[in-house]
Amino acid sequence: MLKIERKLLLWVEKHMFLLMALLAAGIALYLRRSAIWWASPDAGYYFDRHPDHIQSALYDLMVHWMQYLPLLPLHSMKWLCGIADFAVAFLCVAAAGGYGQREKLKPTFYFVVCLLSPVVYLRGVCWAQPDSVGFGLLLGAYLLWTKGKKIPAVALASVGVAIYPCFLAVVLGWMLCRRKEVADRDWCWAGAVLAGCLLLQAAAGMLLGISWKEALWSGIRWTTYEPLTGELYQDPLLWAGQMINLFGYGLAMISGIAAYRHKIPYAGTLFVHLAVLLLYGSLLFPPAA
Amino acid sequence: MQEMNRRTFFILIGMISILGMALRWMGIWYVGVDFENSLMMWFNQLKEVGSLAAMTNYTGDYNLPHATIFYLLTLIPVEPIISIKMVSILFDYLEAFLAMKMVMAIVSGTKKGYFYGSWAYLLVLCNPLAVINSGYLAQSESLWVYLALLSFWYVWQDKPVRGMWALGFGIAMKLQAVFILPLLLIMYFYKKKFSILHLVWIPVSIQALCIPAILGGCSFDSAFVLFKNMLGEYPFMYYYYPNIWTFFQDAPYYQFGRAAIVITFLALLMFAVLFVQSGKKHSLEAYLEYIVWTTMTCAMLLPCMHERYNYIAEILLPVCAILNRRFWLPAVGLVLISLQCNGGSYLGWNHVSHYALAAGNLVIYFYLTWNCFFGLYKGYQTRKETESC
Repeated sequence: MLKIERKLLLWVEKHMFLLMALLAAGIALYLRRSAIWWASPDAGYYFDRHPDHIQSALYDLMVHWMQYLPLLPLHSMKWLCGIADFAVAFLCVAAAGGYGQREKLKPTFYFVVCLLSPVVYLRGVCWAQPDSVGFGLLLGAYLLWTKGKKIPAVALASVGVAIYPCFLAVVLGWMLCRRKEVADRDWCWAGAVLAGCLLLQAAAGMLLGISWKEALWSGIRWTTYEPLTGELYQDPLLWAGQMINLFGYGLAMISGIAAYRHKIPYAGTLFVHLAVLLLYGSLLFPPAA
Repeated sequence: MQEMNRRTFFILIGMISILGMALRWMGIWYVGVDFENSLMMWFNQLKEVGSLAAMTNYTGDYNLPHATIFYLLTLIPVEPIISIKMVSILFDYLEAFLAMKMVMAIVSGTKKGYFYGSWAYLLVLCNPLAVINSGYLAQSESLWVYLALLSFWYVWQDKPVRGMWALGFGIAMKLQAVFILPLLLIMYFYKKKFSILHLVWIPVSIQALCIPAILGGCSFDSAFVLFKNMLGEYPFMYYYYPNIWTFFQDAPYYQFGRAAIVITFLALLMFAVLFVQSGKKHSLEAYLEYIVWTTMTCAMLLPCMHERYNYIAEILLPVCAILNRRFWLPAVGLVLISLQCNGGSYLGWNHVSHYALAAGNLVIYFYLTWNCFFGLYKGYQTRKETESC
């Protein structure tokens, strides 16, 4: 072995974790760039606000504004999700325990997995779904909350929930699970999140030129494709699949944090990831007839 | 029973060798689909011209060194079905012998060497997949697997030049031999005993095996052009081997192929980092487990995998099971799944869906992953605790 080669290897070994994280970030960026031109079978639905669509008014407004950017609207959405993926990866590491001086391996691996998880990749940059945007905002809110910065936390959470309303159920579920630790006053803060979210929806609706009532209604459209007739409720299996589809990303990410903190076994989070991945795969690549 | 004398050992090896040949001879006249449609056609192409010039018209998938073997076989007055299968069978024996040598090296300090060695020889030579692959289907997995394992064996013994030549020969026979390369690179990084420049021997050895074809009129780069043509041949991610992409059968390769390659690369990279950071002195037994895991990672996560590409793991996992009882169940499961998979491709067995086979393979793969990573992570934690003390 050459002297310079040995020196280089020792240097790489010394900075292994940082280099790995950088390499993963570079590869993640490259992968996201390469998925830009692929469109999911339902890509056209994002922009026409068809009668059955389940997105919120704030999401619609975001998509509407993106059409003024010097990018194709779908590409803008994909890049937004891609950037949010990076933010989520950083926040997940921070939420799980941070990058300590003693323990570097686990956070580095976790960062890499967050960034390159097939669930994240398929849901975000491939499918252009804003889960990572909403989740990132909520995770940011959680971190601010734990540091005692309650007003910025509520503001961030309101935006997150307004973009991806079904995550409000996640917030409430989390509070219910930890109700012994949650003070009465915190429920008021949760109410503030809800109020902020409604306010944002109504404002977005007005900016879009639709009635504020319809805009508020968009906040619960995720519960079914057709909220007025409840068509989807007639097929419980289809509805359950749709709910896994909507909550899958959040579930996978939360299970990751929980496994990192040893609240659940690693096999549990692996199972969740696989199940969500298979569901996304079946929706994005339906078998040819 | 576990202590065996030299004489008994040789008698046992002789009996196993006879048994292995008998099992293969039972299927020697079996004409598989691939043999009929591909191997025989290529063989006849080479035979018709009757000289090395036949290489210029060779249209087969096998690379030129393999075609050179076919050409040499045309000169032997033996039925092609026998001569072609005999080459694979010969390498089955070499492979079994190498596995036996490795296992005996692992238990060298004890008196159980002969006992474990004969078990390894038996499990490799009489592995139903090996018997079917060479004796029935006339496939050549044993060639590249033997050469890939030989390259590992040499690198492990700190003989990198020989190791790279063996790997070059393996890749020249079939590109899948490259599945051993990740582990060799990890060993390069970890042991720091040989230079990265040794890798240059790989293309040199491939080119050396192409000399007969070049003399026959092929261009200098023809071997490498053929490799290039093999990559990206199929439009979809899934190709017969029941791996994770079975569940994404219609995902386009042009788009998601790169993602699959990157995921594989990162899985191997994480393993490499853990391997280096664990601070353990890795035994040969552990290395065998790592070979199984790294090659299975390639087969499970890379796109367009054929049903025979996980052959190294299928052959080595039962050998690992001799040394570690925890692997018995995964080894049996893997062999059975692969048998069904081979049967599905060549004999029309369609009793088990590919989704079920893929799920089974995934369970085995995750078990092996857990086993590999957890062992290394424990080593890492111990090292950290020692350092902090």
